[in-house]
Amino acid sequence: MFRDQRRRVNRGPAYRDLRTLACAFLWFASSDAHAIGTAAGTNITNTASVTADVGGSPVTATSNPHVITVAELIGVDVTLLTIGNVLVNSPASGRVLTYRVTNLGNGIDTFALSVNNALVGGDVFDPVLASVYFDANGNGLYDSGVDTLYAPGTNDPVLNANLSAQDDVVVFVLNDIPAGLASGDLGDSELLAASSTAVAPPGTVFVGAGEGGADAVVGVTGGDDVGQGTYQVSAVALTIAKSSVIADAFGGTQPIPGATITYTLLVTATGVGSADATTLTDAIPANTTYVAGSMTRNAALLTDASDSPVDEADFAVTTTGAITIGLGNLPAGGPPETLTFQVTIN
Amino acid sequence: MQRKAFRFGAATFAALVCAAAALGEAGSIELRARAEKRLFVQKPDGTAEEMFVPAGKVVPGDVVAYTIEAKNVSAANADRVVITDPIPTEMKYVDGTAAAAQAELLFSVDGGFRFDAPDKLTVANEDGSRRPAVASDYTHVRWVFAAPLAPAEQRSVRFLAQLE
Repeated sequence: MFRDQRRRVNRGPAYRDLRTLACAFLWFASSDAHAIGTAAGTNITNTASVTADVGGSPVTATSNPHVITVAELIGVDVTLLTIGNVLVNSPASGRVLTYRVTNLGNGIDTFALSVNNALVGGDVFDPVLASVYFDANGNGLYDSGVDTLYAPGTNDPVLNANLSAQDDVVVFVLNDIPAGLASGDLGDSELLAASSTAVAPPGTVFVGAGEGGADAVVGVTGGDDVGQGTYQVSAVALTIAKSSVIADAFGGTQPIPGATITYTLLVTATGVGSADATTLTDAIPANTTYVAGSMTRNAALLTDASDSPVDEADFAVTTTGAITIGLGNLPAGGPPETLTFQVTIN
Repeated sequence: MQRKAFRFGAATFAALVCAAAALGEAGSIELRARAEKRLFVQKPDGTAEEMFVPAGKVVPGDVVAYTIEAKNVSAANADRVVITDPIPTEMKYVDGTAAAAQAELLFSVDGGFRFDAPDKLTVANEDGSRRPAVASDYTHVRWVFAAPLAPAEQRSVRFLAQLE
């Protein structure tokens, strides 16, 4: 179930919950816009009344008060927040999958987390679990040294379904990627969250096991849930095709002193993923002289000075006797980058 | 906020009435209430059979049947019998489940302050305008019997409500 859907579906009841605040003893439990339902342990009393005329006299009577106790509903949802496959190198360490674990019940429950990477079928390799962290600063991104390391049985998340700020937790699973994998190989990783109160088929009743001694009733997810993410080995290959054209002073193509050589480099990324922060460096050949202002990228002129952000190219600044052109991120399968520069033969 | 005040007041009032009845006209009409939880039991042929079991414990989403039985234990006819039951705050009335033979069905949307037929009830929108009331707005259900309740005669009424 998608969390957002659930939230929408339950918005109505949540508003009704706010009205429950009239009963002062429910203050602590019902102040939440995201509550799944009536809090565990709530007593619902119902007393009917009757009026009539008996023998000409008005009569009033009330029924026995009928009390129903709300049991604790056990339920949990694990949703992968990472969008798409996580592209990784082989080997790689500490690659992150992000999940949200939500208490779908109506009480306070503790959930044990575990990671299963030994999934059979559908993938090629098994990621190797490194560690699991909680999002300590609430930014939804794994921050090394900031987020809280999960130690099973020691700091299992305690989620209060009746308080929106506490009914879920963002979990980062960090896996290592083995060496020797081929580009495109997939590796699945599963995060499991299990209620410490009850993991059993839906509808199972655990007498007295719920919050405050109420019964616990297992909800539709059976007291546990899994989310799954996938790593994809991404091997990007850069190919560079270099060609040259000579123009001599006499309208010919002879490599004689004074002739101009125009070099063209075609840079193409192939494979899977993206070649990030790509930089091309090409040394000016011996016995030639660079023609000032002759660099182009995809037919656009580049300056010789190191003057980012005007452009990311320079001559003989980053590397002595060479041109340097920053190409940024080149996605595999994208159009080739066409780079040109000119030299004259000494 | 206004509505909650009404409801709280009504409950207090009911308690006082209860005390008064015990002192005065006790015993003319006996009123019994019970609640049962709805279950669906799957039969071998794949169809689901509706069952009601005593509602000791419920969880959000459960449907509860409230049944009220009125019995005339006096020697005289009881005229103008009116049974009223609050719909618990945590519950939502299931539309169309309160109909009873020989009784006019009325609802309240203001905590039992006023009762009227469903098509005549309205509730305020946030902007102050009013819209027709729907089942989830009802706070109380009331049955008004046209026929008198004879000595020893018993009638029961029932409605369903869903726990939120």
